[in-house]
Amino acid sequence: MQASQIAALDLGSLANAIAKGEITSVAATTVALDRLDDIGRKLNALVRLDRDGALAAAEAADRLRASGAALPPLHGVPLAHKDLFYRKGDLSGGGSKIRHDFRADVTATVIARLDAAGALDIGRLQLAEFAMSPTGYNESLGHARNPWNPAHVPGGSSSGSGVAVAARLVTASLGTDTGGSLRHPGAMCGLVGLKPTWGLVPAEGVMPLAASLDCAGPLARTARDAAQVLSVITARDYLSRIDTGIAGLRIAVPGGYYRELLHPEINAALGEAVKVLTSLGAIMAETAPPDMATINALMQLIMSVEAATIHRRWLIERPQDYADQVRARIEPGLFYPATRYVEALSLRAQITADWIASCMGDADLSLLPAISIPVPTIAATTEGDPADVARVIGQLTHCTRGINYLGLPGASVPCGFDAAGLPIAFQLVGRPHSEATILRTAHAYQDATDWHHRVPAAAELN
Amino acid sequence: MHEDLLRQIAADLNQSPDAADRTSRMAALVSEVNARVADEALRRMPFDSSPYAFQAWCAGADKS
Repeated sequence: MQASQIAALDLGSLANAIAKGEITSVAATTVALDRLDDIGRKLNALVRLDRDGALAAAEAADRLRASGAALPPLHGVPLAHKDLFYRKGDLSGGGSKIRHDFRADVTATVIARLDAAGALDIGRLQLAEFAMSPTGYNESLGHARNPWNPAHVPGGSSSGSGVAVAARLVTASLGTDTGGSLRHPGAMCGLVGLKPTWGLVPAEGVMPLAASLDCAGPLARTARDAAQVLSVITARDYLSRIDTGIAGLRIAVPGGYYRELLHPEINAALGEAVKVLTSLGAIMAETAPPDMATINALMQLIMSVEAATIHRRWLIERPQDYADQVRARIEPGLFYPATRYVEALSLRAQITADWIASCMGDADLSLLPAISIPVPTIAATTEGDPADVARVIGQLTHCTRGINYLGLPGASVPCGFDAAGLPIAFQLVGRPHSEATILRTAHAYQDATDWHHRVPAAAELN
Repeated sequence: MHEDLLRQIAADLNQSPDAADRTSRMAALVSEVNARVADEALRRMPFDSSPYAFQAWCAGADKS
């Protein structure tokens, strides 16, 4: 099989091909390493590769298969992840100047689980500085580029993960989501970015931003692949019922706040997605959200207080080593009284229950925009009047950030392209621990559409 | 919120004099967010509440 054919495979197909001996792990790993080194660098998605270690692990994987041993589900599959998942003894810079030489003394639980599932950990990918930007903004390491158009942002903070999966450099990648950081690159790169229920995925060995909001999860081209990765990192099963369809499933479509900023092109794509879901047997119902300004304020308070708490020493000792845009998002957390922070946490269950009652009612899921506006250019999010830049950045998180305060699971699902050729996505949000329903719905939608099969020119597969 | 108060909080309570120099751009945000959460808590938070209630509520929803 040629390199371009191997690169075109999704996670499930590649794992199957390696398990059957149709492709060796060495071949698959060589393709991934070469493409990350070439296309990954062009799109500034790569932080580092472990070429020697990856090829040695691939050779060992091929020997194990030849021995006839039982193989785990991701045996020999090369993956790379956001550069904040620790591996003992390895660098983990968190996209920052401050931690550029930090070496972890533990291995993240999710990385250990992927190891146990046979996946090969071949490198680390770009992210926003300290995971703090919905665009992927990184002043010191440079901007990652959207594979659909390199003048546009890829979404962040898991920017390199989004770029690498969309450009067919790896088949899936772990990222994290504190205010939308899996769903933003998912939506902007044309992928399923799954933010699990808060607390479902172990956070040990993952660089924190705000512990009450942080969620690790997968970015993948298909819901099935996201389910495969989620099954491994949670040690649960999200695959066995993914094919059972959505006939009779009730999906709420909240209006009000969630429609306020909606660009006509996004609105049209979401309308078409609703028609597809209806044709698959889903029952759609319109609902109205509660006061989202309060939910966003609660999220802002918790995020900035928790971030400022862990960053305070560096804010004192090394303030010049933060990008101004990043420091400005952390520092407000120094000023809120402790009583406000405890109140914000104490109100969380009550307010989440209210959001579910208002936005979902008796429905199984809620369908929201992922991003309300077309994917912006890098220039629109970095240059010109600071007020304009702040407005665009705020618009990007309009439909995502509140979900982290609520702790609910949510996923971006690609549903079209705008006039400039950049992806559009909707977002499925459910009750706590409804990941299986979200993935089943996304899978049914992808079975009926082909948006996830489109390949960006930057992938260089044609 | 008065910027002098924020400067004092940054410098005296957080030992962060650099942050104290940048309080002007944060004052409006901090004031608005603080007021919203304070009002919401006064309106809705029962005496028998806990910052750990959410974890328990979430775990209760886990049927797997």
